[in-house]
Amino acid sequence: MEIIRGFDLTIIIVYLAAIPLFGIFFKRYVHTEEDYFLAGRMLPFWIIGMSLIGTNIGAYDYVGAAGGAYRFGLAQANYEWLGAIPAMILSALLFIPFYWRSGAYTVPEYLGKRYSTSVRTIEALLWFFFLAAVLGVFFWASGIMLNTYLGWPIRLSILIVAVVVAIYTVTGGLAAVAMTDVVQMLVMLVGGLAVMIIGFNLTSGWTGLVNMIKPLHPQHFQLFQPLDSPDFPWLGIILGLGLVLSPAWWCCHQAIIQRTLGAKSEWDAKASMMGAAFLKMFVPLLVVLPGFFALALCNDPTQITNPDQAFPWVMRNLLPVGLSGLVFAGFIAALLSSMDSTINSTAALFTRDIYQKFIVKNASDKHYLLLGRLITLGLVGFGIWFAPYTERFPGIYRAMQELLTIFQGPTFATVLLGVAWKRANKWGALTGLVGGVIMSLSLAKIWQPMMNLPRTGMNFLYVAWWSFVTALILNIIVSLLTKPEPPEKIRGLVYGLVLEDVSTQEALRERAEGGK
Amino acid sequence: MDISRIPLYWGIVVTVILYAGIGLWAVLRPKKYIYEGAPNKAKWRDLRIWAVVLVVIQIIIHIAWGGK
Repeated sequence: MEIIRGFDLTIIIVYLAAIPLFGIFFKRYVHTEEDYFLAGRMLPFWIIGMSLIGTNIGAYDYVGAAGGAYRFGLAQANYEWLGAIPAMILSALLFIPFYWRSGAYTVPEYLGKRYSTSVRTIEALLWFFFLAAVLGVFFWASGIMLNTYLGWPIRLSILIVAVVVAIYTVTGGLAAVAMTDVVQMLVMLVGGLAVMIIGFNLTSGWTGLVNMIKPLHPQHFQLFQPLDSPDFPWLGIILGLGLVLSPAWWCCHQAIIQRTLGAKSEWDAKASMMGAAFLKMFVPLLVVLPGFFALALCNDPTQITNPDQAFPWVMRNLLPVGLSGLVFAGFIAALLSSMDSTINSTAALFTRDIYQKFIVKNASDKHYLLLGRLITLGLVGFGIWFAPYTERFPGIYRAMQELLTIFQGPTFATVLLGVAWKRANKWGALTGLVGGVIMSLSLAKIWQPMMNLPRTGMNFLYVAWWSFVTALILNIIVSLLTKPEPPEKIRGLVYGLVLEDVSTQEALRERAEGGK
Repeated sequence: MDISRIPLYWGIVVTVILYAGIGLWAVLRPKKYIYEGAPNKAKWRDLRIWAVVLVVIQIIIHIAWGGK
């Protein structure tokens, strides 16, 4: 049964038409590769900050996080608080200054300057395949949502979303992505507040909500679950999410970091992440509360047989005609803002780290700009094709987390030692990275759901932790057993080496100008 | 040792220590490093203050809703 009808449908169609038109406006500012992938390095902190949160809140949050809250309770908010805020502070004050000063476009490019081409290439390929797979998750989520709300066929829904996002991402690059994200963030905020106000009105406020849920689900209002919890053991949350997955996301994720590299100054780059952290604290109000409202107000369990149906249930049963369209526009905004960033950053990875490095070197700016646009278009096509395969994972949100687990731990270990320890060298990084990914694969057994086999792998939070530890130890041991990197190579790229002296600034400037 | 018997409040203790450590680390960053690239040295641009506010709010949230 479709939920959106009449006037609500008109709002959504107008919104879907307006966003690409707004994005296309920024085509006039795109003349070079730097304009396309880094918005000409002209973005102020508040635009990047809002854009970061727009990217971070995706379709998987609206559907998956509400479903997680329905099933597990407040523990789901760990992804927004412990699983974000400490890492965002660390990213702003430790990692971003080094990325920004290195003049890199991508995280693998920084690793290439800091370690070697091999490390850069492995990282670039891992990120490229991961982000491409994530696109499939996003497209599938969009298909499910449009099917649920509008009654449109899943394939047709995916196609419509793909066309909308492709139009402005291909033409306007990062500037269009960031500016449309700001609009989309505001739409999401208004839609989320509408759900919150109506929900609290029906449950007689927070106290009423607690009183309705707590008798049947006593653990739903605590952030930490006992150690024997299969999904949110508190030790796994701290070690896996707080210390590994979250820093890996906020300090090393290409789609996140690329936005900060488009800042107009180093201060703006740092402040964008800190500002995003303030916004991030309020995200549970948008994505976790709907799960609580569904749990408190749905008296017929047959209406929500899968937790991912919690948010659609709220839309269908709580919102009056008129508001449904607005809230659904918020959902589409979340969807588009995550997709456009992923597509743009994946295209940047391929163009900078694969194509420019190995296929066509020293071509003109116009050549790389055209290629970036073609790759962007190709990625949209790949996302459409790959989308149905993501259905085999149990829950959209978990699918993304499990894909992340495979290499986020090893990546974070490699970048962390690269930024923080000058003795780490290319051999240590290479061994740690490969060893960590092998450890992840052997512990997670991620191929099982794709082959319809029962899951026997370790909880993904612990997989992240152990793959991180493996990569860290291997990197340290091998680095100590092999020759250190020459100081002139890593000057300005490692914490502890003087950044402000003339020779360091000169080295950084040379890298920024010539280092592709 | 059976780690599943470790009380849940240790999770809150560890989290509070983690946040306090990050807040302290942020406060100890040099002023020049924090303001690098800023157009002026206005107090509101001091990112160390932003970090402390974030950390304090998070500690309160975890003490209030961490669990029992």
